[in-house]
Amino acid sequence: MFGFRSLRAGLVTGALGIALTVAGCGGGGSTGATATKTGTQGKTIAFVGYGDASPWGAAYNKTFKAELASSGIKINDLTSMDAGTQVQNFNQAVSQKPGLIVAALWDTTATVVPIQKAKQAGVPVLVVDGRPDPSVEADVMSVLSDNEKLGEFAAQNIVEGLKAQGRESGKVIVLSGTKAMLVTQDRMKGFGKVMAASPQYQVIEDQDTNWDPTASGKVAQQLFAKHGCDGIQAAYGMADYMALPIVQAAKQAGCKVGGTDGLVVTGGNCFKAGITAIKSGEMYGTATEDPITIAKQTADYIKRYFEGANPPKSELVKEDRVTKATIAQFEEQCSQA
Amino acid sequence: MRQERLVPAAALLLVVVAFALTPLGTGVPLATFDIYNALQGFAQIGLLALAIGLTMIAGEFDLSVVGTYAVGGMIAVQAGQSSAVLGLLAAVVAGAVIGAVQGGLIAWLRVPSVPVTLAAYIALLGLAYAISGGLSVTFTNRDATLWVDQTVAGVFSPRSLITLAAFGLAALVLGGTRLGAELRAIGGDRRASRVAGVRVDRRLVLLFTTSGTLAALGGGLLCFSFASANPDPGLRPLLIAAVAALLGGVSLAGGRGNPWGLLAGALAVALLAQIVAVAYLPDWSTQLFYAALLAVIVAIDSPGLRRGIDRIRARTRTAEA
Repeated sequence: MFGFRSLRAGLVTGALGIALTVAGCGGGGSTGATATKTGTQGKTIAFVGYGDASPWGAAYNKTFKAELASSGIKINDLTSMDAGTQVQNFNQAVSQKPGLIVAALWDTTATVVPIQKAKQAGVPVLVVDGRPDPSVEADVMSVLSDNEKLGEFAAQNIVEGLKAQGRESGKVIVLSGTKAMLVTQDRMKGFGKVMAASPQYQVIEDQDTNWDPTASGKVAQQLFAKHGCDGIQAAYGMADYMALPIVQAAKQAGCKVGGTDGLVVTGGNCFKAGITAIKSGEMYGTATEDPITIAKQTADYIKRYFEGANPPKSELVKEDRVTKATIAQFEEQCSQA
Repeated sequence: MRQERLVPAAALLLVVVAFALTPLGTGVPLATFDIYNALQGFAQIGLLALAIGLTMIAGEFDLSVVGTYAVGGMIAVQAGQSSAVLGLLAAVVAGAVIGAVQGGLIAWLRVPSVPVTLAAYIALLGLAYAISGGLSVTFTNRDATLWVDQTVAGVFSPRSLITLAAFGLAALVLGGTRLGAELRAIGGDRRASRVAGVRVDRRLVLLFTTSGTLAALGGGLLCFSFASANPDPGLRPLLIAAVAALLGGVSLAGGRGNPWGLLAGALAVALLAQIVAVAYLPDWSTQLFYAALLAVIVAIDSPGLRRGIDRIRARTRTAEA
């Protein structure tokens, strides 16, 4: 019955043998430039960022690559939408010893060991967007969004919007990004701090929709079905592309959106569609952390680093609150993606 | 060559050749680390592929494996902060119990596995959220994290070796006892196997217990490696494991397949992901490659194609005569 076992075992062993032999010919594998010589020409970076399937990631990646296109820096693209793949890609990047690893972290804890391996291998790491695990914060450079402030802005939008409607109480739902990420946790920290100062407005749901617009729409539909229009007065979608599906779900459920007594919706990571929705009154507000600004600042940081300008170990991107009152100031910044 | 041997052999060979040829496109020779990293990818999905594949051989499909994977990881991390072995043991016992309960329901109530395991998957994700409060749980046992991924003989790690050992053990048990033949018989025709004296109910309970155990072990080892447990791993691990199982020569209809084929399928999937990393191809191309490879394998395996080839052979023979 199992007479083919030796054939199968031989095949598997043989296949692995081919791969091992080929790999053995390559030795340890060392590519890329070192940061010891100044200038960007000929430098290599391993880009372990978010994948293009995320609207924020797609806009960030496009701008980041475009900004570095003329610098002579080679970008090895190891972006991914999956935390597990990202760990493997990070380890892959360390093994190739590039001049710099640029990483946007899906799971901050899972990337502690890879960051430590990079340090041991002498490969510098630049973390962008969300901060790394505190245990390795000292081992990396960073260009970070001010996520706690972004959470505060979202809560301020909700409180301001509900007060403008004259509501003395209100129920709030939150559709967050991936909860495993410190980006999300920091935003919720800021959000909770401001909401706690207005206890008449109560957060009744806080759901992880993984930065996914489709999941946001589905969860929002379920929440409107569960609580009804009267049971939800405000909603926070952690990015504009998560807030807009909430608007859509509310309309489908027959709920009024915006105006003097409709649902107050706030977003974040401002996008053009969010700006349009604020103008039309469907969203009360958003906040910056647009991918274009941070992508440009990251590219600039990398150029300064390779040119020997000794940029500060950590840079924070300035964030702003956007509402109908301030939209003119931020429309251009927020309309590039 | 029988189809259940041809499919995984073709899949693995195709991918190994593509992997070996990668330097022609990248201009960078493959490194030993590339094999190590591919085997790390194999360790990530291998036990899930084995768990799903074994149930598929018996004509069942255990959708709950990814839920058990999440709960197993969560238990391993929470119970293993001071002793990793204790954590893994707790996860494996929980996985076995989860599998046994499902196997019992499927066998004794004579209900199909898909609705039972789907319900279990949803319940297990809820359980993982309840245990963790919806947040990732950090694994502070740094020694265990470093141990599971340390390099052994240049290309292996304890995690990949444990995964390989699980495949070896499964092959030994299924190949060295009547169990392998019985599972295929159950998958081929359950009623006929009962008539032939196979104790189908007991085999199903054992099968789902094994599946749960493997999934929990896989989840535990992965969470040790990541130093954190995520309450919702998403559906990606399930899909990749199912692709690996299909590439491994098992059939959705059941009655076909063996652990060596599943091993070849899991290795093919892991190597394919490594090709994408080595060649700096976009992340989404991994999915396209999985789909393309699956399409090629399905075509090789299709009865229509076989009939066509047989017809051409017959005509050639007639013409020669």
